[in-house]
Amino acid sequence: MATRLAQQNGIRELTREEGRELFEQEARERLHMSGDEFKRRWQAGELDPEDLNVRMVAMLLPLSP
Amino acid sequence: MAGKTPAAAIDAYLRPLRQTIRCVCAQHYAYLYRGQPDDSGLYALVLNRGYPVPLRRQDGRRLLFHVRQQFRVVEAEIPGSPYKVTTAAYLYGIETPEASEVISFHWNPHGLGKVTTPHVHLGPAVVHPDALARDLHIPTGRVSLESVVRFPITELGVIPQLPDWEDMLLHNEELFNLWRTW
Repeated sequence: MATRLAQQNGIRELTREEGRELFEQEARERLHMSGDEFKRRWQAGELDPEDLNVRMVAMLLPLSP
Repeated sequence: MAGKTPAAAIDAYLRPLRQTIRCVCAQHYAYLYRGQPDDSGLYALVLNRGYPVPLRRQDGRRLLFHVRQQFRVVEAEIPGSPYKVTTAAYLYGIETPEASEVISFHWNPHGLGKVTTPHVHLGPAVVHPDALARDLHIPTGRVSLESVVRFPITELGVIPQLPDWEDMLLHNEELFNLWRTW
């Protein structure tokens, strides 16, 4: 995956598309669901916000508005 | 940590954070990824693309480290530097290599969890599943990333990755306290 702002200072700025990909990856690897499914179920209150993996993915919601 | 532009403010905010992380994370893993802002101006920040970072302990064993934040750029009202970054939420965690939670530091004032004030969780790696403390949200003040990074070095035997880690954490913590708005 190419990144727009590269490796200087150890900080990488993701494009919107790269951010969406990372969010999708997180939702699939941690919760075995797509990013869209996570967002839908999160907004519907169907996911347990006390679950650590749910919280971990939810922290990345701004990557995929 | 203000800046003339939002991008400069973000850079001024992230540089010391990355230095702080380098105190315990090997160079290879110590990359911070930040996205573009959502419609409300909220940014997500994650260490090592979301993969847990191994921390080496003096006894040869390892722990895993997570860092996630949300932040936003706000007006600083400082002449010449009208923008600064404020932290909006954090989730810092330490796990065993088997992904068993040791301790995690949470704060998400806008989250859906039942506790939105800063708190700490003690995980099954250190608390028996039947123990009273297992599911507690133990209240804390809002903790700096520096204090979280210092914790595994001083309490869990994690080997620091930089020789001047103590001075660096102190310096960056002073910056954090100087600019914090909460």
